[in-house]
Parts: sequence; C-alpha cells; structure tokens
Amino acid sequence: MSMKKFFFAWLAFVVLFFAAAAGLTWFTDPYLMYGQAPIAGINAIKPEAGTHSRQARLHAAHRADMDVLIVGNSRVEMGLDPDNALFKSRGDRVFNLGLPGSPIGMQYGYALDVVRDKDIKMVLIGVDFLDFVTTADSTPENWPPAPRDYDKRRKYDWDGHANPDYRLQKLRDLALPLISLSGVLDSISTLSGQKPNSSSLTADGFNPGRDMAWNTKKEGVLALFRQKTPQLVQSFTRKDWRAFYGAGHWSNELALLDRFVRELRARDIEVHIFVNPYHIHYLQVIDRAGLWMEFEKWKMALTTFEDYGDGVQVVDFSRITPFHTEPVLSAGRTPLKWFWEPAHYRRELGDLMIRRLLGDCTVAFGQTLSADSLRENLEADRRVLDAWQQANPDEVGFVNGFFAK
Amino acid sequence: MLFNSYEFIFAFLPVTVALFFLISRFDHEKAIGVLVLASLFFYGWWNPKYLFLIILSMGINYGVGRLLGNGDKEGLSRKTILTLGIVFNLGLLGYYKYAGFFVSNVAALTGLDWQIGTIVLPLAISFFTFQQIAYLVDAYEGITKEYKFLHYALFVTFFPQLIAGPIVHHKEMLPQFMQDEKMRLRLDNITIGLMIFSIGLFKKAVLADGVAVYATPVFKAAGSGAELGFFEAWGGALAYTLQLYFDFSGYSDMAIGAARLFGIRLPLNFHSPYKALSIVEFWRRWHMTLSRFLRDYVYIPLGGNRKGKARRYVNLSATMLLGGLWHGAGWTFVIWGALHGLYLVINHGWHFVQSKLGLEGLNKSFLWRGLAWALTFLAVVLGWVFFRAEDFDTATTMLAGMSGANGISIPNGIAVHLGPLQQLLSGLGIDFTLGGGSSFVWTWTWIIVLLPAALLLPNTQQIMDRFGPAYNRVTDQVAYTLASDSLLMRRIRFRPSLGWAAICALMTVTGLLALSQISEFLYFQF
Repeated sequence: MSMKKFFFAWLAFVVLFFAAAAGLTWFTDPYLMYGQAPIAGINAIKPEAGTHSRQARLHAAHRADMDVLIVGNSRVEMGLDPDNALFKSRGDRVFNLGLPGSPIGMQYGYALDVVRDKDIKMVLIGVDFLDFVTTADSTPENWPPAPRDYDKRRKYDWDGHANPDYRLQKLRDLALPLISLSGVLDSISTLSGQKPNSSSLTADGFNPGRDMAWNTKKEGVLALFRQKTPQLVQSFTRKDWRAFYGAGHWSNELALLDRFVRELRARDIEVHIFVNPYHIHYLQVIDRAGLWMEFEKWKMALTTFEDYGDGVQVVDFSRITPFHTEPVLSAGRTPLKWFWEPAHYRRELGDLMIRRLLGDCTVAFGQTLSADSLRENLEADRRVLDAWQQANPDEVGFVNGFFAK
Repeated sequence: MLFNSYEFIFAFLPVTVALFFLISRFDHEKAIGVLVLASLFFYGWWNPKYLFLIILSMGINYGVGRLLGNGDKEGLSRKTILTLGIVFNLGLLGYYKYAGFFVSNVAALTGLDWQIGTIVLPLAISFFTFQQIAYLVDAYEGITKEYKFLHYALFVTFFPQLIAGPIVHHKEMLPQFMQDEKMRLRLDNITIGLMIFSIGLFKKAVLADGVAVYATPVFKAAGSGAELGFFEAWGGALAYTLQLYFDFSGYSDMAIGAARLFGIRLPLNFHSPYKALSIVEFWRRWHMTLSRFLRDYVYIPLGGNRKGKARRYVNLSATMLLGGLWHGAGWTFVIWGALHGLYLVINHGWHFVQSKLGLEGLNKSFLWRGLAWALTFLAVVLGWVFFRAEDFDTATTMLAGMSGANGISIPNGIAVHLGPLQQLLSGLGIDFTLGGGSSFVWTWTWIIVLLPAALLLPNTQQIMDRFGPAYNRVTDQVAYTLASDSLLMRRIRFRPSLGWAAICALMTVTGLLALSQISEFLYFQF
C-alpha cells in the first residue's frame, strides 16, 4: 500500500471509530443523559449513572414530565421511590432530584430550576442536620449567593433571570460523554453490567440500592456499618459545629431553605419538609460528638416553617422508634429491614414515609414538628436514647470505638 | 499549551504546519521566522510574561556565542566570556529554580528569618538553559559555526522540543533547519509524524493518565501519614513507576512526531529503560539527552574516569547529585540523585570485580539476567518513591509499607470471593481490610498489563524503524537488555497496510477521546 493510500485509510478509520464511539455512548446512555428508552438486558440497568449524577440529573429533570418533586441528598435518592404505589394511585408523576453529596445550594438551586419550568403541585424536601450545621464564626452570605461552578448548569439564576452560561454548559454536558473515553468505557460497563447486583438509577431519579444489597449479602451488615461509621464520625467532628452562629443566627443553609420554601409557596406549591430517619448508630454518633443539643436546636428552628400555614408540613422521622433500633452486631448477611447502613434508609422505610407525608395517619412513624409539642418530644427522645444506651452497651461501644481511633 | 490538548491538536499544530509549508514555497527564511513566532506563541500560551525571559536568554547567549566564535580579541579573554555566559545561564536558573530552596534551607539552618516571595518557575527553563550552555561551551571549543540569529532562535524555541526536551544539540538541529528539502511538504513525513504522535498520545492520555489514578491517592495517603499495607504501598509505587514511564515515553514520541511533520528528526530521548539489566544501561535509555549533557558537560570536565577509580566514583556521584537537583529544588530529588549515584558506583564496582574474577560469562545465563533485571528494576522503583514523594516523611512511609512493616492485607470485598483460601491467608497473617476492593483490583490489573508491555513490546522507534523516526538510531545490546530479540520484537513492525491503518486509527481515537480529562506531563514540572 502506498503512503498516500495508507494516510487516507487511516483517516477513514479515525472518522469511523469516532462515530462508533459516540454512537455507542448515545445509544447506551450510561448516565441517563440522553433520555434513551431503557431496553431490558441491554441498558435498563445503569451501573455508571451514579458517577455523573450531578451532571445528568438536572437535565433529566428538565426532560421529565412531573408534578411532584423530591428534593434532598443521597438519602432521599435511595429511600423515596417515585414509582411508589400510593403516588401512582393518586395519579402523581414524581421525579426524585436527590443529589448525593451535594451542598444545599445545589439541591435547592436545581430544584428551583425545575419548579420554574414545570407545573409542580407538591415538593417533598428531605433535610439532614449535617447539611445545615455552621460554625460560631460564620458570617451571613449575601443574596443572591455567589455563583458556583455547578450553577452554570441551571437555566435560571436565583432570582429567576435566564442564565447566560446554560446553553453552553448543556452542550458540554451532552457532548463531552460522546467524545470521551470514559463515556465509551462506561457504555461497555453498562452493556456488560446488566446484573441484579449492579448499582443503578432509574429514569425518574431513584437509586434502588442494588449494590448495597449485594455488598450486604457478600460482606454482611456489620461491614457496611464499619465502613460508614468512621466517615460519619469524621464529618461530625471535623469542625466545632453549631446549629446557629453569632447571636442565634440561622446558618446560611437554613436561610436558603427558608428562601426556597417561600419561593415554592409563592407558586402555591404544597411543601413537605421532613427530617430523614437515621439508624440509632447515627444518632449515637451525634450524641457522642457532643452535638445532641445542637441537633435539638436545629429541629426547633425547623418548627418555624409551620408559620407558612397549611401549605407547609414539617415531619420528623428521626425520633427513635423500633424502626431505628435494629441491632447491628448480631446482624448477618441479610440486610436490616429498614436501613442499609447508619445513614441510608431503605425503600421499605421510604414507602412508609411517603404514606405518612401524604396524609395516612395510621402509619406509626414520623411526627409533625410543632413548637408546642417539640420540647416534650425532645425530652422523650433523650430518655429513649439513654435507655437504648443502657440496654445496648456493645452497640454503643462499637460506635464509640470509632471516636477513640 | 499541552501536546495533549484540543487547542494544540486541532488548532495550533495544523495551522502552524499549514502556514510553515505555505510560506516556505515562497521564502525559506520567512517560513523559519513563522516557526519561531509560532514556537514563541506556544511558549507564551502558558504565561506571556515569561516570553521576555526566553527572548532575553536567547539574545544574550547568541551574542556570547558570536563573541566566542570570533576568536581572541582585545579585552576580555574567551575563557572569561564563556565563564560570564555560563554564570548568566546558571544565575537565571538558580534564581528561578533554586533561590527559594536555598533561602529556606539557610533560614532553617541559621534560624534567621529569611523569606523570599513565591517565584514561579518559568516553563522549560531547565531545558533551554542546559541547551544553551552546551552551545556556549561548543562555541568556546570552536565546534559551532556561524549561525543566523533566526536559525539559532529556532534551535532554542522549536516547539516540539521546547518544553520538556529532548535537550537538543546545535549540531543535530541547526544543519537540519538549513536544508532546503526540509521545507517541502511531504506526505510521508506527515503520515509518519502523525502515526508517531498518535502512539505517543495513546501512551500519555490512555495509559499514563489511566494508571495515574491508582498512584496519586497512595502517595497522598502516605503524605498524610497513613499506614500503608504491603500491597497498597507496592501498588502505588508500581503504578507511579508505570505512569512516569508512559508519560515520558508518550511525551517523547509526541515531540518526535510533531517535529517530523516539519521534516525534522529529533534525537532519541527514551528507549525502553525498564528493559535494562543494569543501572548503567538504565541511564543509557532514560532521558538520554540529559544523560548525554551531564556526561559531556559535567562528568568529563570533572575528570571522568581519567583520574583513577576513586575519583571516577566521586565524579559519578557528583554528576548524579546534580542530575537529581536538576529535576527539582527539593531534598527528595537530591536523595534520588544520590541514590542513583550510589547505584552507579556499585554497578561499576561490580563490573570491575566481575572482570577480575572472570565472571563475564554470567551475563549469558538466563537466571542471572533475570536476577540482574529484578535488582535493577527494584533499585529504580525505590528511587522513584523519593522522586514522587512530596517530602522525606512521605517517602519513608511508602518504603515502610513496601517493606511489609505495616503488615499484609487485602480488601474484604476480595477476600469473600476466596472461599477456603481465606482461612489459609488468615493463617499466614494476612489481614482483611474494609472495602470492596475495586481499587485494589484495578491497580494490579493495570500493573499486570502495563509492566509486560513496557518489558516485552518494541518501542515506537523500533516499531517505526524502517522510516528513521529519530535523528539517531539506537540498537539494543543483547547482553544488557531484556527480551531484545524476542518474536514480538521482530514481528511488530509498522508498514503502510490496512491493518496498521486500523491499529493506528484506534490509538489516535482512544487518545483523542481521553483528552476530556487533560493532565500535564510530569516532566513539565522540571
């Protein structure tokens, strides 16, 4: 072959391989970026979707048809299933916008983006104490908050003006996987990962925790608790956390929640704020870290959202009940009934929460947070925690052991 | 501008090639001028402020070179002019690269409150400084010719070799710039250049950056004082060993490929160094043009091997210490250089003992060659630990883990798949740590794939041998090289065929696809 023919053959192969790589990623849609229809056994399970969740989820939400939006972090992502029977029976079209490991600014910023474009009638907001803590020397953030890199992905800024960066960012988000090696490799991983134990995300944003179930089966419940607990200890002890700063000022995150709720109410959207449930080991970490009082103060602050009237409900799912206290040390390789590990609850518990949030008062789980009842409840919670600690020295020792390390 | 970036590959390189050949049809000198301007633009892309520095350095060195080339005149002696020229170059390098290191060490030793602001290291200063010192020395010795400033400027700034070498010699480059035939666009040069560039891009963007993910966290953990297990520490050290190999090898290929587009052949700088069966051989293959500079302009002027064995060893150690310091102003680089100086002294000492005892025949033994390779490779890996570590403590933490001082452990996620073997391993004192083990599996998968590739496959120069890819041709000496005459080495040879078009295109496309996660070349920091 002459060098000239070789050169053009090489060029033709380059074009061909490029097209094949882009086509594979577009067809497989490993990150739920292109809205491809799931094909069972081919690309219905998305083992790599979690790696690009932040990039893909907002675009997916803009594409989706919905009237109920679930907002929060990985806890709601893994706990609240939009495909829940009660939602269906009510005719609700639900999207789970839970963003794992995301800051509050991202959670509410992205949610507002969706709300501005859709006819949303109800928003469920899962909140976590750790997302709202602050330090004594904090200062108030100006409004609107300084734009972060992830805000480029939003169609609108905080005040509802069109974001000039949006189109370019969307193009980048959609195009980059098509021309990236990781896109090709993740597509191959998707095609070969259509197994029951692969992690996945559904098109409506739910993470069914398949990998959690598999890991529990292979390594046991205790291994997951051993892995997660030191991370929690590190998070809670990293700084001298407080519920408020200065002379009782709300953290910037709590102020942002307030803004968010006001925006929702201005659109006459029904709002359900709920404190996520935690396994008792998680609560033990809070107590051992010396933050129980701060936790109580934070809950007290949440009761003020009652003031928005009938359209806003605040429910506490973190009060200690038998749902929260399944023993861990004696658990084997079958997952706990309600929790994957200390921080993440299972869909089964999420289903109960959905029933409770949607008004089914027969569910003995979750209590409306109100200023009237809270003080009494907090004292009761304290007693229950003390009693659990007395009765379960081994479980307490297990958790406290991570502080010693 | 990085070779592995969209702006270089899709804008700068094609535009520069097109302009160069378009203008060269009318005026050769103007075409060279375009190439110089393009090279300065390439350099200035990083930080335009430092364009002044490289132009000043070129101007002064060219002037000093002219003075030295004009023979003795009244006024300053040639030796004084050479000394002043070298002092100027070392002064620039010293200020930008070593001033902070020097001041902080003096302050630490004396307790004085000496401080110096942050000095940004100008890109490529170590390379263009050494290149020009060599030029001045050769001008002093009457080896250089009368070159035009434009040609000299291209010799210094030619963008394929400007940032991270090879450290080219004026004898290799300037005559090429003056050949008319280089100015004609030739499809075979373009094709060969693109193929070599593509292989280099694949090595850098896919292999080096791919394995880097498993090296960086381990050194970071060591830096934070974590106790590393045996497999974790070795995994990190070997991953870095391979990252550096494919990074530098990839860069060297891309430099040779980019230069070839203009019909220019750069000298070989990297020749399968991990195949070496001794440290002496390793240094004939790793950063070959730096080794050559240090030999010709440091080791030999110090006396080389002409003043007895003891002095030779002192000269070797001093040269390697300087080589270490050239890579960076830090004690870990000094230790790395000292370590390699020691290795070379031991290696030369062994050669002496071997010849005295008549043991040269050992080199033919399969077992002996295997042992020689293992010892050489081990020494190199231990050296890289210091080379990569941020500080001495990080290096010793890594070495402690590699020695097994923190025990041997494997992740629980892997252990659960081992069945009854788990009991056996436990009985042998192997621990099981938390975690799924995917990082462990991927680390060792990369190592198991890349290490044989580095050891058994021919390198780019050998694959492209028929087309004279580099300025010089290096042949393997069987006695000092692993697998130099294996079947793979003989069979994998590039030829213009449909199969090779597909293989090269696959490397081009995977390399380009990997550009979405751009990372700098490791040698840019030197």
